[in-house]
Amino acid sequence: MSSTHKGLAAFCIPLLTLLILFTGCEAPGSVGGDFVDKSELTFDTLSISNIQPQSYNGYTGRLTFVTMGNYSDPVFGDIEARALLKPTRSTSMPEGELLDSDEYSMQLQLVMDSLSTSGDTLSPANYSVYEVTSQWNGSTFRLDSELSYNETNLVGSFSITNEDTVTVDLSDEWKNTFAGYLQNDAPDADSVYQYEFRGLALVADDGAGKLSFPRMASSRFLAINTEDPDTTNFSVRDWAYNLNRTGETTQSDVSALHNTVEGMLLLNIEGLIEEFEDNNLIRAEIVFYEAIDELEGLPANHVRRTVNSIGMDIGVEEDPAYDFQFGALEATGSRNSSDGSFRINITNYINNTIYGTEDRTDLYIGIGSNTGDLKSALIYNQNAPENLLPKLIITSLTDDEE
Amino acid sequence: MEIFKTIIIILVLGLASQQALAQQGISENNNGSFYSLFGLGQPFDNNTARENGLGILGVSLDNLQSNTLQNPAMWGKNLYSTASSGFRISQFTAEDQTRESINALLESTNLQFTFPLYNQKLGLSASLYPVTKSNFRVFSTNSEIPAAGDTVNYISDIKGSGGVNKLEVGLGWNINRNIAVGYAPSLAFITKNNTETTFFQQSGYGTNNLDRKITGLALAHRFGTLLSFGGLFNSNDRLSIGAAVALPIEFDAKREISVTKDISNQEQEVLLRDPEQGTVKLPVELNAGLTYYPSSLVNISVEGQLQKWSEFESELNPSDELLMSDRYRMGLGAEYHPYRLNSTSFLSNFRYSGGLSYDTGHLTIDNRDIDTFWMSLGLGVLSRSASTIDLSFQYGLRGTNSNMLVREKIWTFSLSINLTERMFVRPKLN
Repeated sequence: MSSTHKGLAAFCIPLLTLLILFTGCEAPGSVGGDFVDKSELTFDTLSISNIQPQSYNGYTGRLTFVTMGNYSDPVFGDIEARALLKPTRSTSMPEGELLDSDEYSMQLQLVMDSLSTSGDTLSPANYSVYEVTSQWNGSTFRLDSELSYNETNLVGSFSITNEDTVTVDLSDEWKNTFAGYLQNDAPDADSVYQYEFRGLALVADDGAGKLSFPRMASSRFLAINTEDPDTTNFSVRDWAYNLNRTGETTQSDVSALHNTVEGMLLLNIEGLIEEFEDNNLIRAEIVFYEAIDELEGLPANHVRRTVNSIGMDIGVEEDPAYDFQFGALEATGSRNSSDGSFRINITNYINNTIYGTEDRTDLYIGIGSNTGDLKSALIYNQNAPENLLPKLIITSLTDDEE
Repeated sequence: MEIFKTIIIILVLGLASQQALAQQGISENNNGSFYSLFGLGQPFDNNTARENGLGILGVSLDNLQSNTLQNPAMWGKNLYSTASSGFRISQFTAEDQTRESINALLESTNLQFTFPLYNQKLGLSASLYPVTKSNFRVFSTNSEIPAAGDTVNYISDIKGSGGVNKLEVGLGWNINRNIAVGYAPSLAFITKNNTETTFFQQSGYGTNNLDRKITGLALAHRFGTLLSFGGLFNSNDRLSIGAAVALPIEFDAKREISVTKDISNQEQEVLLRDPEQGTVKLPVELNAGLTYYPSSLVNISVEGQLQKWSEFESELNPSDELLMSDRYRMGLGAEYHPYRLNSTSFLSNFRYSGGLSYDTGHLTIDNRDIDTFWMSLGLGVLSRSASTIDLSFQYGLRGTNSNMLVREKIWTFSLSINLTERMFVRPKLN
């Protein structure tokens, strides 16, 4: 290597190192930002007037909870809910022991969702347990499905105040009836049990003043050997509840939403979003305001369950009630306690409508759920005062070309 | 020669990887002058590092060995086939009256090949080079209050990229020892994009990406001439007078504004509205200068340029026309060639240059020209063949920070590689 090239190498290597360090020093900032045509955030608030109430016959069987009891809610009406339970027959008794023997008795153990009660929190609610006489199936049972029971033959009774767990002694007669099906070893025994044994109805006495919510995964039937302390558990095989609501008294500017999908709203905002098709839409949300003032006035020691979110579904399938309770929601909106609003982010729906292939325009608002514990919300509708009207808020970034 | 090749390979690979990273948005060193925000970007001076070191355009720098884009007439004088490219690395310190930001920019310059079709008579040049470049980056912090007690804070990251480029093929004809002429038609194309990414502090507002793209295509034409005279004041001196003109370019351009949206659970780029069509017209450019060679050791150049930016037209962004003004650029530089002394001193192996230039800029904002003053130093590294590496260092001051404008202090290092070879020549002896 010549001296020239050695010198060149000695020159280039530190030079390149210096350049790498030189370009590593970068701190981009806001200098000149005043000259840049940047997009600005704008908010357009539009009142939603195309709202129609909807009512569906919701599913009440095989949900997380059953609702039972009677309660006269000054807003949401007189509610009468009766639970139906049926034990499994797949559990076997201990070897050599029979349920219909005298040393065995049966109980129903109800494990409550202790944090959730609607109605009078202090007074006890009394219940009677009867044998169901009508055919039913939890998977198809709905709010108004037929329910009949033998009121002349009391199977048990109990009372609920604030207990976590309630144990109900069941009659030996009913125990022996159940034992007959349990001990049936015919090939069609299970089928016979399914169609002939109708289970129990838990019926609140008049004026019970409270709704309670047993958790079905934890509740069970117990076969107790009174002589040799031993217990055999029978889980609940099928369950449902029947609900009757009368006398709902809501004003014209509010609408009730029930998680049993008896109360829902149908919105159409197609006309509202047309003018935003050229906008760089950042966020779109539907805002509903809860009618908190109209929910006040409950008697002392009475409570009403809080609804923490409402949901939105698009379009109607063949079975809307099933869709609204068990289908995936398109969007949900959490309750904002500071202003009592529910805000549903519908940005994806709007984007899909403007840029994609979404052509469904019916938006269903409700609190439908598959939990089974009765909840209701009261929200202002299209007849509400201006500041409480349901709104569509469009947030856009507007550029200088607009 | 081996170390020469090694350096070239390292530089080329390093540059290629840097450019690849920049394309992917990984590298940060992709941001340049704030003033490239306006119009189709900042006019790009396609000077080699040698020309940068002199502070001149190069339109009159008669050179038999290395490439230049500045004057098509010179391609007819080439003795060698050449391939040349290079890169620039710059740091822009921008400041207004209250804020400062630092951007770094690593960019490739032109790529040019020349072939002597007929030795020192007729030459061909093929090149790809930028005409304007947009590479600004600005952050902006904003907030809006949609309702009482509710504030939405957001940051806009606005970046420019692309510009106008030319794919050019031209011919130079050395008519006689005194006159050479050249013509270079080209395909000019605009691919300019301003990207605006908006980040929100609040949840529920997704990051928004908006692209404002301008594309366009046009034919462009350049002409050049070079006049050479010897024996003016002594038997060894020489004077070259060069001139070149680039005719106005009228683009049929299209602007699209697109945004990235989550559609059916997939991120998709969609047009925000129908594309706009319009004409964009780049102005005429005139370059002229003279270089005097009192001896083989020294040359002195004075050159000037006029770009009629006042005639810039854009139907897509008419407001940009109001900011444009004619750009005048003057450069004065000198070169010293001690390697021709046959000295054994290490420092005598290089070519040295220095120069000054002043540029009124193509923008007048709030009645202030966005001018630039450059100081330049250059170093040429020669090999036993005619290939060269040229390095230049420049320091420039652009604009002003009065009237809420932006003043930029610019450091630039340029490196040009010029590979030469005698090709297509049949050896007379085997």
